[in-house]
Amino acid sequence: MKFIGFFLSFFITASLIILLNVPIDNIPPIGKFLSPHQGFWQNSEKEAIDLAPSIDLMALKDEVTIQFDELLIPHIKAKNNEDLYVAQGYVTAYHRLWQMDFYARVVMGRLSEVVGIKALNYDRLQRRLGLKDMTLKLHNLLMNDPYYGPLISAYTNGVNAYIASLSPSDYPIEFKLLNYKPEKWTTVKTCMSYALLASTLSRSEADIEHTNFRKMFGEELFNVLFPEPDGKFSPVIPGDTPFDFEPLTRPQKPESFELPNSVNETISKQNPLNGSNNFAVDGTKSKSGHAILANEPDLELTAPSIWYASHLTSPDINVMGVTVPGTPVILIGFNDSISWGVTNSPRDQVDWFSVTFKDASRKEYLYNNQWFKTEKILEKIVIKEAENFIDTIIRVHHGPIVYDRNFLSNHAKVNLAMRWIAHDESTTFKAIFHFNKANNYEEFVTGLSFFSGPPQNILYSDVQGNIALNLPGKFPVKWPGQGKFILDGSDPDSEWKDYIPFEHRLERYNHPQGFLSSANQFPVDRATYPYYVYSHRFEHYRNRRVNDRLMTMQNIKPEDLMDLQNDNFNYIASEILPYLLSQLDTLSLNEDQNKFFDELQNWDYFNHPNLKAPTHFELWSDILWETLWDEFDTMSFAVNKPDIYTTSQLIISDSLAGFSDRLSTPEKETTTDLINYAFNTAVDSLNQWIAKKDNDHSWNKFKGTEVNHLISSFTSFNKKNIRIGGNHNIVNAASKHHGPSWRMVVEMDKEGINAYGVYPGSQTGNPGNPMYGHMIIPWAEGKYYNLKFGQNKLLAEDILYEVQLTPKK
Amino acid sequence: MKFILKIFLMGISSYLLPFYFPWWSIALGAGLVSLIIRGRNFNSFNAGFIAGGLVWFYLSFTIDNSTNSLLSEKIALLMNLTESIWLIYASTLIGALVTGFGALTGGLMGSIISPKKMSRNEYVS
Repeated sequence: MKFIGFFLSFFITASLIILLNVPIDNIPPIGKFLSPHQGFWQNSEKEAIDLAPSIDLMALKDEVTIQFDELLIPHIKAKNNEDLYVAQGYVTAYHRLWQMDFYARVVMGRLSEVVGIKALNYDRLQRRLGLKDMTLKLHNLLMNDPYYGPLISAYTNGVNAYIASLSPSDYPIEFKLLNYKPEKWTTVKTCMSYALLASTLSRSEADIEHTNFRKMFGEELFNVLFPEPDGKFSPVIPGDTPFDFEPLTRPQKPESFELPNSVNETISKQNPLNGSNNFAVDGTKSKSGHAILANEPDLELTAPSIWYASHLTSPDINVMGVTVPGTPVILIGFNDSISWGVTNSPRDQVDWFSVTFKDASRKEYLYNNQWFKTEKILEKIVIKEAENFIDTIIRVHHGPIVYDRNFLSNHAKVNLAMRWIAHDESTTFKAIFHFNKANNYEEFVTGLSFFSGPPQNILYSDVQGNIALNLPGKFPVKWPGQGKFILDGSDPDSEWKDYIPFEHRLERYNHPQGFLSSANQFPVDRATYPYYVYSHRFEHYRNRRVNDRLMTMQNIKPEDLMDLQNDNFNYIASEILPYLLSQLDTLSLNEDQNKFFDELQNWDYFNHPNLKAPTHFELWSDILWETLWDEFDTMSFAVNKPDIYTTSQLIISDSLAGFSDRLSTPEKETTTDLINYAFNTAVDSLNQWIAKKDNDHSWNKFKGTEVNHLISSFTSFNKKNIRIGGNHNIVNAASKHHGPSWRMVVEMDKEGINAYGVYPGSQTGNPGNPMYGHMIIPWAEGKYYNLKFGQNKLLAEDILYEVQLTPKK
Repeated sequence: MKFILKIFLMGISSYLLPFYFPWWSIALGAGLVSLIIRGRNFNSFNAGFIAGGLVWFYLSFTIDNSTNSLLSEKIALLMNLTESIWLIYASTLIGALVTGFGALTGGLMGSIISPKKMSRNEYVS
């Protein structure tokens, strides 16, 4: 009896513990998770900072002081550069360890390990794109460099020192929810952000979609719907900029190549809403006589934020700004002499080459009428609660074959190798490091010479009052049209040969107009620059708005550039709405339609959050665009729809050819019919929206901008329905999921810099911290914080918390 | 008195052990206490249940209270609970059950190891 009782009780206890200690589906081990000692309760923070005031670190050579200001931005003072990056690694891990781990998994294609089989295709794509190989290549280069290697190691040691200080109860909440442990940080992971950013910014292309379209409809229609800009309207480099050099000769265009089969589905691309603005004015335009620089990268709005701010000081460095967590140095920022900001420069950095294998073994491929050996790579992907997956990737000299019989190949009919500049050895990290330390334009240009991509419009200003714009990077010399369509992988003449020399880059140093700016538009007047420049997508609106404003603005103060960053003018609407309204049959409008119409008629084209007209315009123009290009929805192969700018131009000039016909009706609609139809549908759909949401349809409520956690199912870590105006193609580029991810304005005063900044998030990544997401509302309201630097340097009363790091004996 | 002493000792072990060992060490601590201090099985379970429940309630409640439920509200939403107080109840229940069953198992183990003592105790009590 006693034995039975004991064993029964033991069995119940053990089962209870086991049951509460294992994860079930997506639910973390409930006993562990709810334990007040080790579970989520431990992530509830009473104070904004819970670091010990004095910490011993083995990795240090000398003492380091970290002072946190009221935004939790660390101001790190070190006595040598290695210690500086140890401390940067330590403090970044303190605030963002889980996010760093997540990004490293994204780059290395290791998400499935922690979130399970749903991430498998994502991991496969990342590995097929070669992000891991790029990171290893960069790592190899930096670690073999006697100057940079120790800095990468120092940052890594700092991160690891923080990880080593953690007990399981201290792990960030995401580790507990997903039930895994932080693993050791490595020097390879410290090099990850290059691949991460390259994949976010320089992978945009539509070669396959274009090839499909041309095959179906011919080149003539293709050129109408997907025209190349001539660069006459507000290019990045002002039109009067001379390029007096002898260009390298363009390669000869080989015979046109036509792929026999089409591709039905393409890989996921970078989001077209990733964009940015930067602008700088010189002393002639500014009130104070100093240059002022403004920059804001518009990216996906995530929690934790993509950016982490810090102020780094050592005997030869004094720099402040933001970087991607996990990456040493400052990517966008300023030091006491110069400031710099970047916007993405759309440039076709990816070409696809069709590869012919000798046979199904795929051991040899055709090139220059000969058979060459392929390289086979087996990528093992570990999947949580499932068997490992092995992906076989074939490499040829162009690059990895991303589309093949195992991946999106249309029943093994196509093999496409990816030639991506980002696969080449990159020295961009060196460039950024030079920017951090540069004292003047000459030193900055030395930094630029190392910049290999992803292509950026790099804006510069200094305390001498100079401003400059540069587009450095690695660009092949192409024949016009090279790489717009899939190329013949067996033809040596289809390949890239020479690269545009650094001295032939697009550059503008100061300008009589007193300002320079960029906003992802076409970079240069095609008639003046001797090299072929191409991308399938450029901005056409934000650039014109920024330049229009800067042209008229005088006596500019930093606040004026802040206002410009928050400018809600809807350039698209200003161009197309008068035409659309003029095409309406206003006599037959009912009451609802009349109200809808009046709102638009009286609108001044500003997408302010409280207005209803922007909602009307958005609905109407979206429906118009959808129904206009409904022909594209019926196609079984991958194809792109024309962009908003081209569409608007075609509508206004009434040159839509047969596309205005709606396929779902027997009639042949004209453009005017279509505009009226879209209008009526928009009114109906607005009424439905109001009935469903039981809400008024002010622009901010209709748009519903949100900052979502990187793990989308962690919905309560999100911030929804943020009250902010703007939209895509508007300077204040806040759409639903994208927007200004870091707004910075810097006045380059010789006596000490005045810098301002804000981002939609918080330094701390912990949802249990009282300051989690504290800058989101001020960001939405267009407010800025004084960054504690230069004239506003951190005073004793501004220090929220101070930590002393001491070398451990 | 012995019952109170048991609750007290199990409370201390439930409070201290998980700082150094896995969360379920509360069961081991309570088991050990009821192995050493003998008593009726029902009482052992009750002592563990009360001690473990109290400690987990106290800890989760004070954390929740001092942080204004900042995180627990978010976690409650993730778990489809309407209010964060349910998380405190859930923590309390888990602490109580695991400690209680640990205590019971310890007590029963004791009765196997030294059955005589056990019967006398039963008689005395």
